[in-house]
Amino acid sequence: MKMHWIPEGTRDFVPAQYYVKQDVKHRIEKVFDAFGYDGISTPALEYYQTYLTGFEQVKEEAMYKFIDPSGSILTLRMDMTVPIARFVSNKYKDVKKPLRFRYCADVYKQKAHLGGEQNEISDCGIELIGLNSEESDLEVIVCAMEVMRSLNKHFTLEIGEVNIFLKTCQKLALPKETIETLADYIDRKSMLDLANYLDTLKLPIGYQTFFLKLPWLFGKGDILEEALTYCQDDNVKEILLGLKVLDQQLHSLGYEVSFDLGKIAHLNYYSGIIFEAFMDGSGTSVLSGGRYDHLLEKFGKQACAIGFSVKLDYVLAALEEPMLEKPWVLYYPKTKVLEALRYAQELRKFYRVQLYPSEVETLLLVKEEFV
Amino acid sequence: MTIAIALTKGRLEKASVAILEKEGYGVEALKAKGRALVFEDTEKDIRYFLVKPNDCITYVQHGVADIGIVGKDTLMEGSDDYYEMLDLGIGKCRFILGGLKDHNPFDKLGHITIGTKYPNVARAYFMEKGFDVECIKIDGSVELAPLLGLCDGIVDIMETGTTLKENGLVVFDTICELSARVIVNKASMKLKHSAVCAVLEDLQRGSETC
Repeated sequence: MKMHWIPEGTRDFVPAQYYVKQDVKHRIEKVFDAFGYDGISTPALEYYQTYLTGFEQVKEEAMYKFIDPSGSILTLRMDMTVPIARFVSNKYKDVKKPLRFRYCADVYKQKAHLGGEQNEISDCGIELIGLNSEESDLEVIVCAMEVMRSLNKHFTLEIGEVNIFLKTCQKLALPKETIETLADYIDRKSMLDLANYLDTLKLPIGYQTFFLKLPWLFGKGDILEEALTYCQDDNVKEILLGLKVLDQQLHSLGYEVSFDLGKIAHLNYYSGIIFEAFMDGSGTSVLSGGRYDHLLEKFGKQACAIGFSVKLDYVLAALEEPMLEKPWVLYYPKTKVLEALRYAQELRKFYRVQLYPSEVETLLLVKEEFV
Repeated sequence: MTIAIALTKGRLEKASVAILEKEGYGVEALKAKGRALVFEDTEKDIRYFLVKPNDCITYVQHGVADIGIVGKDTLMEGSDDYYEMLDLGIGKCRFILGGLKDHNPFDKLGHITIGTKYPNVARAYFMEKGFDVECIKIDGSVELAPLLGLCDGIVDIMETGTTLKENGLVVFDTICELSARVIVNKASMKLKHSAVCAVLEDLQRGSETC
């Protein structure tokens, strides 16, 4: 018999796996809900043009594309931030007060062939629109910390700031291509390539040291102090002092975070702090987000924004599958089907009940412990 | 906290193990390996496994290995979702563009074909040079391809150049220098920070005095 496979990078979920996923989802959504975020949903399909507008560089090979009957290119959504930027710009164009939205949706990216990665991922996150860095960075980090705590696993949340790198590049008036190459090397902590490339640029020595140091500037809050000694620009200095304040505020609220100043989002729409959380048992970051103050204006609404999301499937990788509790089973003789249904109706006020026609004489209620 | 290190089998294996040994790691099992693939360090809380170059990247990206030692050639051809922290300076060689004498692909007018085990590297190189070429993937003995007329040139790694010379091929250009690198899983770098950094420091020191 011919067997029907599922497409590469997708997965079926059996009950125990489905249960964990729903459990994780509920925990996260409970936190989002308590912070006052309202749930929304958007279509799984977006126009390709929407993503071209949202991202500065679109990774073409990562997108699932289709052509609709009118010849327009459609894509399966790659993330939820761009669709929500579109959604908010269309529906809340003139709303001045801050908007808080949450979502849980499947997003799609075609990853390397046979790399063992998932192309379909459940993304559960929030976007806070209409408050600037000073007004909302702290609150959103606190929310991210609470989400991570709700998962009951050891984790590290790590904060970076894209302007530490970008403002330094601006001061040097580096061309776009140079900035991209530097960003790539620093973000990947590709130390040798970075050193060689910096040699060819012949930057003033202070700047060269600064760029060389950036990938190593990660760890607890004291690295901010160290960064100040390499810092070449007053704007950057201000950012570092801002991060120090953020660190102290978080500390006094009882949260410990880390910093990685070499974290440079390739993603192009981030414009301020960016952060990621890593969890024991998962080889990749499970939560990521940041500030994107200029994305919405591309869709016609001037508004600051910040958001993050948890990739549910990456969290699941680090969790055990639970023993599922079995439902009660009510066996009944075929002649007593109505009686069985009435009895089950009563029981269902308190229990899960499955019905089975059987060779029994009278109704028989059984509970097995576990699956 | 156990650290898992993926070592690349073959060319880099001996030199990598030598660096570890010099830094006081308990690598006896690695030196006297039979058919085993996983080895426990006798001194530290470290587990090693020997894998093929491409698999080294895969294991590190998935976080199954925290640290990997692998050639830059493999890194350049493969994906890049890891930190590339150190150059061990071992397994030195280079990427070259080679071919038959007097048949430099850059001098050819018309369709150019390049045979290579490294199509991504070849494509990036020619794109940088502003040349439009067709890459043909060859899995072994790439030198054979231009000799038999399959392609106009090859992009391959070269250590001493002997194989090339013996087959009557010449080097037209060096694309870049290569050596073994230490890569680190991004999550491991953050979650096992001090343990990973301790290994990195040892490897750095070991490679400098090598």
